[in-house]
Amino acid sequence: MERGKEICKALKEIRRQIAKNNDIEFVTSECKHKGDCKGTCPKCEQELQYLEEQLAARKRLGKTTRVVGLSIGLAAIAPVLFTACDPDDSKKGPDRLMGDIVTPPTEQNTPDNQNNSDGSDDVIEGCLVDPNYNE
Amino acid sequence: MTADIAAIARHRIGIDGDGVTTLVAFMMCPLRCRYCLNPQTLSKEYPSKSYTAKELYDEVRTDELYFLATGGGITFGGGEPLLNPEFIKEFRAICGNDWKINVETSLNVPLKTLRELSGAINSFIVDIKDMNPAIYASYTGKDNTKVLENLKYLASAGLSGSCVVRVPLIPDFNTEKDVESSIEALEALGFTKFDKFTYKTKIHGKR
Repeated sequence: MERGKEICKALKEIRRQIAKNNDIEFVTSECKHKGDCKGTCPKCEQELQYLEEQLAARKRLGKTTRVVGLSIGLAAIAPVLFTACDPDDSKKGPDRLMGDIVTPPTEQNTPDNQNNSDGSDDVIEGCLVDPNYNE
Repeated sequence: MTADIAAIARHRIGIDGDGVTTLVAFMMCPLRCRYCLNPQTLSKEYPSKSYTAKELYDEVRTDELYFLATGGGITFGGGEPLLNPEFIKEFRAICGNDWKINVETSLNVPLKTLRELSGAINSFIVDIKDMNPAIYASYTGKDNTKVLENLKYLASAGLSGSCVVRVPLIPDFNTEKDVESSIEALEALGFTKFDKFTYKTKIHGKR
């Protein structure tokens, strides 16, 4: 679940930049969690909630807050992440595909483009649907 | 008004549109693609959850700071999101204009639907399968008359720049040459952003 760790790092960096742009004291630490990571956890969610509260407090005091338009570039926050819509990008993540909803992997429906090592376009694995299938 | 949602997936960075997005997958689709990525959305037996637009907003707004800071937002997929135009319009009215709303769609819906909804959408990720009507019918079980009509509408409305058109190589259904023909036809309409990729299925083995 390497991608989960990457997402966690990217989201943490976004939180850090929001705090910095709004003069919010923000203390965080590197996640020491071993094993599966979904990209967020209760600690990450707490940090997000803390930022929301701090921004709301500043608004109540009539201070200007800056979140919209920060335009935090994803390339800057997570160089390993990619833009799925770039057809020439061969570094597309292996465990999430455009439009693929997150479901427990099964033998029948396991996104698997690990073998896409030739630098070619993205590969999507789907399930066979009976053409006569009616819901 | 409610809509049946198959899944909500958060923090899809760089997958379904710009910035940090949350994918909201609707149930049901008019197509029966042979290699459907989310076939569970076709089944009435699948344990989907019914939401009002407000209920959905309340659930996904937890990531609002990420959306606003990165120019991200909600990507409606499925299933076919354009089967729920009123829901999406209502959601837009609730979330305001600072969130981006993307749709991953086949465009196989009535033109009237697209006309009414296009103003609420920031970007379209259009999976056209193949522009050749015979190939399209063979792969999806439906004809692509509405798709072609809707593509022309998007181009004529000056929205081609807001579209990424997915042009897949579909094993046993089309060829590289067909993919290139589709891209040529789309370029002639004025589309410029394409996502070329290849479907892989178990029956075709590993590459």
